[in-house]
Amino acid sequence: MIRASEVTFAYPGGPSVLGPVSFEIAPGSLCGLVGANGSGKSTLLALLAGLFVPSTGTLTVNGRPSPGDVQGVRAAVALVLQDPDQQIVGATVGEDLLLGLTPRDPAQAERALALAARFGLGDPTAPVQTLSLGGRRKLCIATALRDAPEVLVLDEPFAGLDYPAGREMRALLASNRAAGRTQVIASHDVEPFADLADAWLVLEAGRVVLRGATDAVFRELRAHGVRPPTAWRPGEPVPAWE
Amino acid sequence: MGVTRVALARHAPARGALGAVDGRVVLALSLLLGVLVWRGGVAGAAADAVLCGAIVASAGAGPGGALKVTARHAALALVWGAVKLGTALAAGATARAALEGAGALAVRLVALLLMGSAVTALLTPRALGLAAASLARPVLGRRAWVVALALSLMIHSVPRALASFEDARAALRLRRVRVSRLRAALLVVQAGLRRLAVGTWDQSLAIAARRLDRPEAWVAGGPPRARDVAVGAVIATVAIALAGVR
Repeated sequence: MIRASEVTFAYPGGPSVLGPVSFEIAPGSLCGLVGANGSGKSTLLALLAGLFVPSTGTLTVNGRPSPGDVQGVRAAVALVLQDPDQQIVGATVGEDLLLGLTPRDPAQAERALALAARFGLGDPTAPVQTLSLGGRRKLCIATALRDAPEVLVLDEPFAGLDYPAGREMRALLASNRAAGRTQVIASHDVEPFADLADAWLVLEAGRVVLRGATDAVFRELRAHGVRPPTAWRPGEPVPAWE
Repeated sequence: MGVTRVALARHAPARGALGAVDGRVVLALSLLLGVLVWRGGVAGAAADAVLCGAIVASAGAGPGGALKVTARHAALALVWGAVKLGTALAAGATARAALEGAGALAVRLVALLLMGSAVTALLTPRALGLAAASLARPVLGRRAWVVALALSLMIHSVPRALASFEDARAALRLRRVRVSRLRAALLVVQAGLRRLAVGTWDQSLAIAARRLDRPEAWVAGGPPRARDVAVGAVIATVAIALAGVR
């Protein structure tokens, strides 16, 4: 369970850029965190991942509070940023995937490489620049899942992806969901994953303005700078994006 | 956290056996060679330059690529050689002594720059960081990972920095901005630095998100292989012998 209680955040010496926000995200659910540009999505993601600490209020991830046990939050939550080129530090697929692992534990490395194979990342000796944008983003997700985080947080995972890569991303999210992993997906566009999400948080100017299940949230989405899926009709389930 | 759409020229890992040499051996050897090139004879420095050029060529650049790299380094070395020549002459040195001093400086600079190229051709930023952490650990203890992360990020960021400035130049061309060359250069620097500043913040978040900001993430596995140490010892012996050649 992720629980935010009156959380605010301000950069040192600056005004508050987020909050106060309060919400809950159920374990094993896929939560869409949506809002227009500048609404505070990325700040909230950084708070969820333990990279920022709330200025006031408390954010709790599966019993670990921030502030309090920020390192525990960081260990429990894996964040994948929008730009894979910032997150990829290794020169090859294998080197990047094994970054930060204990070198004396070959079993860890084997598990990581098996994960890469499952993700279709191919030859671990391949230089990372030979991967497509979708491939590089998959590599980032594979490295995030490598340490079996309790929560996976993704910032704009569909940005810039073509149709086949978008389908692969959806399949990844669906398999994580089936595995019971809590996921939070931040996006300004709900279209590619509207049918996958269990619940929604809508941010505007640093505040949560809507939260709840798909139909109720989508009815009011436009008023907050986000377009509902074109195929969605009020009172009906969201058609699959495929 | 904006999307970068520019295809980045990333580090390409060295091919073949050279790419498998332990980073700690490579880094220790380069530190030794650096001292020898600077303090030893000029002929020895020239020999070291040839050796480093050969490594750059074998590591993936090929003979043509290595020659291009050498030419670029030589151009820079010649500039500093000319500065040294001018200052020596101004200080009253004879033309012969000034030329010898400038020539020696140029040769040493080319050797050192080629050594840097060889090290970055052989090691990925991550391998270089791990090697630096291992060598710095006896001095810095648990804080050695900071050096490793800084070094890795510095090399990792070079292509990003170049791409930022190239983007700014391309934007000026696309927009057909008519300004003087000086003004254009200033605009490129300003826009490039602005992009870099934003990227630096996002990069910090990315590193933290991957939990690379802790000592455990920068520990090399086991001691270097005996074969790598032996090869390093042979090269070090040859380099020490060459350093005596005037």
